Amino acid sequence: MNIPPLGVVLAVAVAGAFGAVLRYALDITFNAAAHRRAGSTAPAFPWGILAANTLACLLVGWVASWATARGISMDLATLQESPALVVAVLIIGLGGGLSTMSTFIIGAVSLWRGRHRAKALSYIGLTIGAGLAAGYLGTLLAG
Amino acid sequence: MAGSPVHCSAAPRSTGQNFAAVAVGGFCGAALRVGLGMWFPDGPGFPSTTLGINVAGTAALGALTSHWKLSRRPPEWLRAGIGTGFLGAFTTFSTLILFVLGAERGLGLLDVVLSLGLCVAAGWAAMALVDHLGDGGRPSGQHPDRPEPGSGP
Repeated sequence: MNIPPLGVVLAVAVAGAFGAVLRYALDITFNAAAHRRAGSTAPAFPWGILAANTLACLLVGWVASWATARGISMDLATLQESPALVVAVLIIGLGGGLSTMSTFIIGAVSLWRGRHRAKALSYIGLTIGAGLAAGYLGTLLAG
Repeated sequence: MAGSPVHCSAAPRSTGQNFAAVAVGGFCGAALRVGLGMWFPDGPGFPSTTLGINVAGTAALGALTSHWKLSRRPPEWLRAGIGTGFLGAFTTFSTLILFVLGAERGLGLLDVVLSLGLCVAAGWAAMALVDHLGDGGRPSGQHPDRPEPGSGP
């Protein structure tokens, strides 16, 4: 079965929309909890975005490792079988939509510019560390 | 104020309108990302397309975040749809981590350093530029949130 490129884009985009909605739900859930605890004077630590990025890394680590072990390539140019499409939808769509670079970096830069520098640095360090750990855990789960 | 974190603003509410906007934005952002990935595939050696997407998306979100703080705010669903949905899903963090886990250690480290460095620089520059323009071009010495050169994380 040869999958037309437009079909790949649409399938990945639908998964990306799901990922983005899940990330938004995590963000507002954690944000609302932080507001209840601390009031709204101090900026809340972006736990929701950290959770979304970490969860996405766990997912892509797991799926990529699972696919590699079965010889499934998700090279977009040669996407010709439905297992490869499912892998691309999960990694590029769901994982890519659930994770975010822009909201992460702008959140960190905003914290730093607002003189909350320890929070900004720990946010960056935690995101990278948790992402790598979760991705690695994902590869272990697949094997 | 211009430099206060975006999270200071009132906690966003979970309305159906906001979720719908995030879904539509996320659909478009992910479609654009995968479309660019098909047109300009990431090289086997280094994911430069993903890097470019992340830098561009971060700069755009920085400019919008500052703009929305200075000007009359658009409705919450529009900010959620464009910022969280479109630009959030256009950019990706998991692809960076996936590359680092599979790549040679030096190359993975290079991707992390380049991604963080370029995205922070682009986002910071975009925020500072829009803040400055929004100030009516006040001399930067009077700007309360002028970033110190070289003090970026």
